[in-house]
Amino acid sequence: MKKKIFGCLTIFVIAAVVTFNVNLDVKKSETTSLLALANMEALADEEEFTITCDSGDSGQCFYVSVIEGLFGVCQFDCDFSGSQNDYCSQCWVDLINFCSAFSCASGG
Amino acid sequence: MKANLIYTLIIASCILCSCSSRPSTERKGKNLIEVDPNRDDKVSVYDLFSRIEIIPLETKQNSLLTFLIGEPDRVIVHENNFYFLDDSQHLIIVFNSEGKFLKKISKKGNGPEEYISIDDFNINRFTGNLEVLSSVGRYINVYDISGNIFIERIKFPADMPIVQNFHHLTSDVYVFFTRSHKAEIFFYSKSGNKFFMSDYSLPEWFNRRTVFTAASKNPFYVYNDFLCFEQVYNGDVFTISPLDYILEPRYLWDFGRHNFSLSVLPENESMKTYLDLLKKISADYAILFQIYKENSKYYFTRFKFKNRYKHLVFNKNKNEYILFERFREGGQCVPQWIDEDAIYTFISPSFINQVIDPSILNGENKSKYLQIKDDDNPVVVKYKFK
Repeated sequence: MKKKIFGCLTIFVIAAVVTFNVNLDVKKSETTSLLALANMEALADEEEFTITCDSGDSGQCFYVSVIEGLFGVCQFDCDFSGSQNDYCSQCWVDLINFCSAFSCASGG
Repeated sequence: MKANLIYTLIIASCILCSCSSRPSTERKGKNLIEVDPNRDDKVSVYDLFSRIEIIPLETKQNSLLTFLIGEPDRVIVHENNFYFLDDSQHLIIVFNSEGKFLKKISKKGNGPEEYISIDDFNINRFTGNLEVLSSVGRYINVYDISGNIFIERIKFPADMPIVQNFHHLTSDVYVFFTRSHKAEIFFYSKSGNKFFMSDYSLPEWFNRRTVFTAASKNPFYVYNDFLCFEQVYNGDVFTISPLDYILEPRYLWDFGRHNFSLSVLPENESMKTYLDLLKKISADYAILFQIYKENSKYYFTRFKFKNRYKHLVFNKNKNEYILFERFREGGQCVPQWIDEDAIYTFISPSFINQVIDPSILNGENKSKYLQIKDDDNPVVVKYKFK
């Protein structure tokens, strides 16, 4: 039963994240006022480019990670990667954590 | 011609050997300790400890700590005070040894003396200063121990990987753990503003999609001025040499056919697949060594085997170990800090019944235990060594 719930949630979350990503440009203009954008500069091949990431706890340049706590509680989180290919929504991670308040080993 | 061929073969062998010097594969020698994970010794709390003290952390409006999964994000005991990192609130909260709230160190912001995020912290053993790592900001902010006086910002080179954890190898060299992509260890010289990688590397699929590396809050600890690194997935412990930056085996646990290695897992699967596999893997292998604490007499670790938590206490002087699931009196052994005097467990009220049975407490501590409410601040359980 839990696996089914997880499966449904996973599909739901993937669909939501895809939707988020498709609409990222639109969302960006909205979230810019809420989230300070952290600009990071990097040098590669002697050319300078700018990576734009969301600051705070989630968004662009964050990826979904999972840990199993000391007492078996499974917790998903958004961790910073600095890579623009990554996107993690704290809202969805919170939702998954709320719905999956059981051990990682039982299917997460 | 033949001599050339032999010479070429010798060179090739040397290159191959140097390439295969990853510490995780070197599981041999005097540091390899055989452990039978099926053992379940009958261990009383009083075999190791003389008394147990309950220290509720003061619950006030501005002292509330978030222990999301029942445990702290990171805690350091320094000069008898408890320093708790609360990364969801982006601050550090300090309590004294009796649990009284002392102060809140909160500097989140975009200013030059503030941090944009707080992902790890340390008290520098060379300077005594409080150092706060911001992964997003790519810097360490240095404050005095009170957290009131800003001293400096150590800004990392632009091409340095994003880091999640750090410790001090020498007064100049920091050691970093990154798990943004691959899990890697590297070193950073503050005076030279340069970084250089170690040989240690775990693949990205393993690091990002399994619970085996992210489980670790900070994989480094210092014992007797040695900087040590613990590998969460199989419990191996290494000492990092400040001279040549090599990871030298310190404790390698040999569970025989129950030894876990990356080759057990299929590569590049989804997070869901790995979570589904976790129960099966735990049935066969000793995994998830989330506790690694050491003093002059003991090394404590705790791992999962057959989907149960096992507690391994290695007596360094006698070179022998005990292994058990629960104390004879009930409760688990979960040291999150250790010194020569005691081990400390930091836990939310809702999980405290998993570590201690109130029937073994004396009158005063039993009374404290019974007064704890679910929405109170976390509790410190201090087990004083015999």
